[in-house]
Amino acid sequence: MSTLNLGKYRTIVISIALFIVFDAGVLILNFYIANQFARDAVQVNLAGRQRTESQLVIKALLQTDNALGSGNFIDHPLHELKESYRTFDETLGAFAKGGTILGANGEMVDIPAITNAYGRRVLTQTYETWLPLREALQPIIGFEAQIDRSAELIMTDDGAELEGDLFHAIMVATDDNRDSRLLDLANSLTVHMEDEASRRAMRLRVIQVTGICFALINFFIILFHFIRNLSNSDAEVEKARRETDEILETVNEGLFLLDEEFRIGTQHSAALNRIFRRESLAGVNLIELLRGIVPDTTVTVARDYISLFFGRRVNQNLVDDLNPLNEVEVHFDTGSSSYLVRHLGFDFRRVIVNNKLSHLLVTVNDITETVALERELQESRVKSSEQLDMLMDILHIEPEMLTDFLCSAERALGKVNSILRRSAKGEDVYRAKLDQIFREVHSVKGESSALGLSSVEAQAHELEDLIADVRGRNYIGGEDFLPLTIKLDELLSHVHGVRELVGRLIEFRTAFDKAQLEVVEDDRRNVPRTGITAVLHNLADRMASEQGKRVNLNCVGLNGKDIPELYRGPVKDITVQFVRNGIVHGIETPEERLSSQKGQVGRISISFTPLGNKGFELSYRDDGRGLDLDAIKSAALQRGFVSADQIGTMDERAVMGLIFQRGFSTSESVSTDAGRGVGMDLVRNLVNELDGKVRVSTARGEFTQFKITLPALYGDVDKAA
Amino acid sequence: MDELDLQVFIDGTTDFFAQMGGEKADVGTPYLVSNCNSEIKGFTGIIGVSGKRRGSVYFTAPPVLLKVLLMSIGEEDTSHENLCDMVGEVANVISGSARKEFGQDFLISVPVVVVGRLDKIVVPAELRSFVVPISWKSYDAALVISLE
Amino acid sequence: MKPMKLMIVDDSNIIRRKIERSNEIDGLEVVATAGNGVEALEKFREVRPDIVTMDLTMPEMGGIECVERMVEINPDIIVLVISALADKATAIEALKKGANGFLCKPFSEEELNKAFRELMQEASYG
Repeated sequence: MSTLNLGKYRTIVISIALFIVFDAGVLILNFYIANQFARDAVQVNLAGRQRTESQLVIKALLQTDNALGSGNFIDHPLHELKESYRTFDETLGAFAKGGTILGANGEMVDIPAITNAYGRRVLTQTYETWLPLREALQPIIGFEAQIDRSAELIMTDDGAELEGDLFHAIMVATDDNRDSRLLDLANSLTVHMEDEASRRAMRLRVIQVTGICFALINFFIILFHFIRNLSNSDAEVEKARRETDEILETVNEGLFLLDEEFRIGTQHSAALNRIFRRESLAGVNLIELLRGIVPDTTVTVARDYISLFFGRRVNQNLVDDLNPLNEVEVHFDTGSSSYLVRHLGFDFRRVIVNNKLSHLLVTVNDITETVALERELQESRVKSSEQLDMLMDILHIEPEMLTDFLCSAERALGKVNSILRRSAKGEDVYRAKLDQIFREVHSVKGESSALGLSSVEAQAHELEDLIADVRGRNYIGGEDFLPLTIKLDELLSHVHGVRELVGRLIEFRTAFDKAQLEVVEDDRRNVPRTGITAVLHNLADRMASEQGKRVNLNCVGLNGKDIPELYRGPVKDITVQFVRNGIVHGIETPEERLSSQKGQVGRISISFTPLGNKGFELSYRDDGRGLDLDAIKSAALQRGFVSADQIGTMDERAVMGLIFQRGFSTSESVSTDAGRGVGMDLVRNLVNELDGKVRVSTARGEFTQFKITLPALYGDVDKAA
Repeated sequence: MDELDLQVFIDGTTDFFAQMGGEKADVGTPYLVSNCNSEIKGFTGIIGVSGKRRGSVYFTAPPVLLKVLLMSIGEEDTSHENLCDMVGEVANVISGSARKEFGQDFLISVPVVVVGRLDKIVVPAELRSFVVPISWKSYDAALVISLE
Repeated sequence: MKPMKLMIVDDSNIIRRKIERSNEIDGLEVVATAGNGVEALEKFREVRPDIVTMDLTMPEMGGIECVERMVEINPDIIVLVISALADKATAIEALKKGANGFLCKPFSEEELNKAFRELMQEASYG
């Protein structure tokens, strides 16, 4: 897992590793350099000592000789000579071959052999210079004085020999400036070694500085890389956060997350504050929030419903119907003892993270306006159906009488209210009030009854009952009047409703009269559905709806100027009769038509056609059930128009002619529309008067057709054609 | 208008006087008004109602009734503040009993006290309010119920 | 795939037949119908259905109790409550007891099929 995750941290891991390597390298170099410095210092030190020692050898040689010659003790100078000799010689040997020698501060030090060319050359020259002297010094170094008095020593053979050796050695030492040459050589070796050391130190320092530089560069790479990565991811997080903020800020819905304890999450849309009309909502318990603004019963159901989502079993798509908060009325206390009523719609969805239910996403909308619109629609529907009932009551009342009644009713009810209002106390006063009220209400009831306003009458009657009920009690208090006052309120509302309706009717009538005027004007401009056409359409619509039938009327050539003035009246009367009979007898109900494979809508066509000098043809045709010849026969028999014998000899045409007999009808009962038997004989009379002809054709179940021809009118023919 | 709904407010008022005032209050014959301001008697406690029915219920009383009421409960200080407190207390009891009676379907607000005319009250024009005269010790107060 | 076994519990013959008829979903097979809670439980033990449609107001044993018992017997049972909206609170109670979904009476064939599909999908997850 951890190696897999290395990916995005690869660079950083390598950089850190390099940083450590560089640091360690520089550290090791430091150690090495420090060590080298120490060694070089020792060497330079020793080389420097060689300078001194070379001179000390010569000096001690001369002092020994001098002491010996002047008879002084030689122990001390001889000892120094030995020391210096040994030091110089050993050091030189160590320089040449490497070795351990006594250092300047009395410690043993390791000396590496000098290997470079220049050093070797100086060493060789030093050896060449030193060896003769060393040779000469050998006997002196080997001398061991047994006596310490030089005076005596010089007297001995040893002394003499020593003196000779000393002399020889001094000769060698001073020969050809050997002593100063030795000094020079030691000096150049020292300088050389100092140079070497400083050169090496310089090199090492460069390496060290380079290492540090690398480490620093590496460090900056890491730093840069880190900062860039961090700022990049910061920027991404910041961007994402800003986007979320923007969404939450802008969205019109209230959006929030809800946890199992019904707490609102820390982030929610700004709209939520507007919807709930409060500032801080994060962490607030939704149930508690609801408790203040909806009735307790709703709170309980809402709590149960929301809990369902936190259970595993419920399918969230199948419980929407049960949501008690999908259209909930909430009441915000405005603080001045009144409530602001809004409607909110909540929606709950599960939020699943890593296969686990983490929260519910809740959406809240203020749906007040939608609900108000729906309600208005509903109320207006109810109101219009109530008003329709009322309408039936008031349509047949003279408007003036109605207005008079409404005024007197309102006056009477107002009087009832002032009787109630009159401050009074005591049983008797209350009873008197009841009597007065009863009188007023009774008059309203009487008047409404006389006018046939049954709804008002019923309500007034209920109020009378209530009064009677209170009257019958043994004791009457002010509170007993409460039902009366409530009923009075209802009655006032009702009367108010009637008045409103009357107002609207009057408005309607005014508009209608105006429209009628316009129609007359239109007539002159030959606009469709005017004149006879309009009359026939109105008639057909009214009768079809009364008969529960559906009719499509098609009129051709029936508008004002299409018909010669002389024929206009008769054509109107004839066509009205045809349409009336056609709808009552001919056209079937939609059900019948469907079962006989016809369209639900019956068709009636009427046309008035000029035929040039042959006159005019008025044609009527419906696609109804056709004339029922058997029914015509039996009706004619029953009404005594013909005898049974006559019927037997009549052909179809003659039977059809029977319908034009005065008083003929196949209908059994009488209605305004058909059955009075004054229809078709009227047609015949009119046609006869105009010297026209009627032809009838019919097919059972298919159609009925009347064709009337009317003679041409001289002087009018051209105009009409 | 439901008779029972109205009765709850009336009972709340008479209960208050029965318990605190030491003497029963009489209820007069209720009547209708279209503008409740005509009924305001100086100090008014207003209760907001929402839920099944919406609107306001007012208990309004003249200062003298409140002063007598204060004294009858042993309070000698009849300052303006105390009169306000007193009328607020009546409204409190009324709203409390209303809450108890139909808290399930109604939301009953904490009462607010208003001195003088009610300026901010907006009542739909066609809505008539019920006025229930309350008389106590020959002083007249009123309960005005204005619910849709 | 083996078809899921459906049991219909409703005291109305009409509703029972309507569910039976309109149930044309692949992978669902009506194995039993019952008209009251007691009968429903008996058949439930017998036929071991996977999905149950449940009316709430029934004689003998009501829907809520019936749901509770069924879930006790088979915790994996999927129950669709079919009831009128008038008793929202009762329906929520049934869901609390372990029913999985709610379908409002009257319902269309389409709505019923959608509900079944939802429930079957859920069953295939769990």
